[in-house]
Amino acid sequence: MFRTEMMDINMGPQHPSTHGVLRLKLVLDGETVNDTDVLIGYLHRGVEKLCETKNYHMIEPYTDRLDYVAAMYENLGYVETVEKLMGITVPERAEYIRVLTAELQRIASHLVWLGTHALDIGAMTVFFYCFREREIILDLFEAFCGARLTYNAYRIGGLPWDIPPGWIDRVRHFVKIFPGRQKEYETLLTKNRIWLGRTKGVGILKSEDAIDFGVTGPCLRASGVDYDIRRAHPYSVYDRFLFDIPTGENCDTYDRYLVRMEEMRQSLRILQQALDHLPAGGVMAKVPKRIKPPVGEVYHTVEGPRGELGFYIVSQGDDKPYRMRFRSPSFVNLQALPHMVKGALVADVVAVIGTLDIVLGDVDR
Amino acid sequence: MSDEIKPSSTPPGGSSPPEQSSATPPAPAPPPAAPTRPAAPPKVDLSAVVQSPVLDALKGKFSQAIQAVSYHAGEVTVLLDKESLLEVCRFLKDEPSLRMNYLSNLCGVDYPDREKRFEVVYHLFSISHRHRINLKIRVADLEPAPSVTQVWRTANWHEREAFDLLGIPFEGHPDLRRILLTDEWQGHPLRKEYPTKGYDRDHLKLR
Amino acid sequence: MGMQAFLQKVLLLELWQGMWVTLKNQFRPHITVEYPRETVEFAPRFRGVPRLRKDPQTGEELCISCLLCEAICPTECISIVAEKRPDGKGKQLVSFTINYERCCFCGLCVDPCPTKPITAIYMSHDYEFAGYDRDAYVATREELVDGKPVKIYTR
Repeated sequence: MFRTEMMDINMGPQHPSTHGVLRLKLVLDGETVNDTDVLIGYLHRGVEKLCETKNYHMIEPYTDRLDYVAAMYENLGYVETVEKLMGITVPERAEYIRVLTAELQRIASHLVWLGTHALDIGAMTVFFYCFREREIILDLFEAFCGARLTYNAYRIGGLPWDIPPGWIDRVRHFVKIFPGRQKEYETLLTKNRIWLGRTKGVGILKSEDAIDFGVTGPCLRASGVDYDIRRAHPYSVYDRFLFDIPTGENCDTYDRYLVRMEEMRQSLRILQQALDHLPAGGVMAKVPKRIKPPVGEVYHTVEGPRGELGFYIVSQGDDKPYRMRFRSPSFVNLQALPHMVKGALVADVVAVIGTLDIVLGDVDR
Repeated sequence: MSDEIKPSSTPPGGSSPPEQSSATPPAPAPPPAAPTRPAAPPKVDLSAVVQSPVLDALKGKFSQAIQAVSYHAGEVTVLLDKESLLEVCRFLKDEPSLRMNYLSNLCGVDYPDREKRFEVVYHLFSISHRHRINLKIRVADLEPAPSVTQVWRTANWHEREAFDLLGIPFEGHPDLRRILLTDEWQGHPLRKEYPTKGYDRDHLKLR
Repeated sequence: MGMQAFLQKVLLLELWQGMWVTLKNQFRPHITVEYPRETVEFAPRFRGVPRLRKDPQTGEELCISCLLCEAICPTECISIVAEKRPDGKGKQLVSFTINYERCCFCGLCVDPCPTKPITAIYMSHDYEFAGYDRDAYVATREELVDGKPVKIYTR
């Protein structure tokens, strides 16, 4: 009597809630998603190929442009990989300052996630609140390295500069005021009926599926797996800090929200400890002017705000990497999207994209 | 409406006098007090042999398949036979004492001078036992590599990317098509013979 | 429905709560600035466009044309032409050009600059450099020292 058929809908690449240039081909049965095809590559810049033509110093600014919401982590992972490849030991003070800036970056990145995620779901105010606090962090970064988004803040073997005078006090001030600000977000969201309705039970990713899809970071921990590289394979000086790894139980969007909120609190804890134990000394190790790692290959991972950030470098003893590979968490996490939205409503797709916290610069590289 | 010429917001040499320029010191800040410089770190033996329970288990069961083992910076890399890769992967994933249930990374490397020009590298990790191992196989141009999507679903996009950028076909992949580049793209950019440069530097010398 | 909830409904308590928050923020000083009439303050390390500078005491050219900044620039935006000095000691600049179109503000060029105690090339605080054509983005040696003229749009 009625002719019913599946409908193909293109979501993106220009869609406000796909966080960039992500394109989804949704096969809809009414308003239910039956199948999803994720089409990426609109922001592919060929960074891996480009890195093969640049020497090791020049690559760091390029890593800034991958995950531009958390560029500190791209810098950190890259310089640590080269240091591991060459066997360089970084001065302790530099390691502590790296931890300080990286954890500030995690908070800033989670604030962008929270603001945009809530904006997608319909809560406008949170966005302004989050960006108010992110501004403080960006000002701190500007004072530290001179840039607000693409930092290029570390160098192989340490840091180019020590921290500016008065910076520590500003970070302490931030650590003091932030818990109160975070309570403001929570009063807006945590028990909000609309927020609960839009996030509870949406985008369920069971722990075994999450591991199988290679999902890492808060998304994996919200599925109940307490895997955090800062704990599993401590890099830098993370083995000296006390912090908890929050995990979720219900594997849904709401749990991922709770896990990320808790992660910000844990980051504050790490910041507090790093501030209290910041050693004196130099910030740069003895590094040759021309960086020529020995023949070999190395795969190093750091725990970024989105998940496991991997760097694979093959060196042929040259001053340029023979092969450079960025294992970006957004790229791998996005793979789980079709699984998570199968059978959900179109409106939930927006919530799931938000909760995966992808950055398209990182997905497409 | 008019265009007004105003001198640049920074007066020449004015806003950045030498006092301020301490923010960007010439060299990476040689600190004034020499003792603050850390002593030269002990020379690290990068290719030191490290113990790996995974490698021991592999040696016990698949001694035929292992072609070479290399060590760098504490990482163990095992070069395997292409034919036995799937079997090894299944063993590593299902063996209760190993449980390498998480494929962290998969990528290809191009060595155009070799007879088998591509290397496919697998970085494995066990979430419950916290150990790592890297596997490697070698394939020639156009020679299909076995797909590990049946073992780890995360390999799907990684293999599509390796196919897209390097042109390694994966046998048994459910949906092998280009992922980052458009479907009509010619060539595989990460191959060494693919050109990198578009423009030359002439456009820089405008005056 | 309890008494409290009933009163809350009748007296519109939550509405007044919200109004109070709005009212409080009405009389707060502004945190935005009216660009371009006023500008925000930069941190001393702020990385604007790279520029050259002369010795502030003697007014002499600082750059010794060692080409290190050209070599490390990841986007190859610096191009230097140098020739031998007539007295045979070292080199002197013929031209020093930075293409701001390509510059990615990474600040790597400042790191290896060997002139001491201040570097010849530095990251200035200039950030206003919109232009109508591509020529506007190529800064010559003179413009690098004096600063590029900025066109300000006025009504």
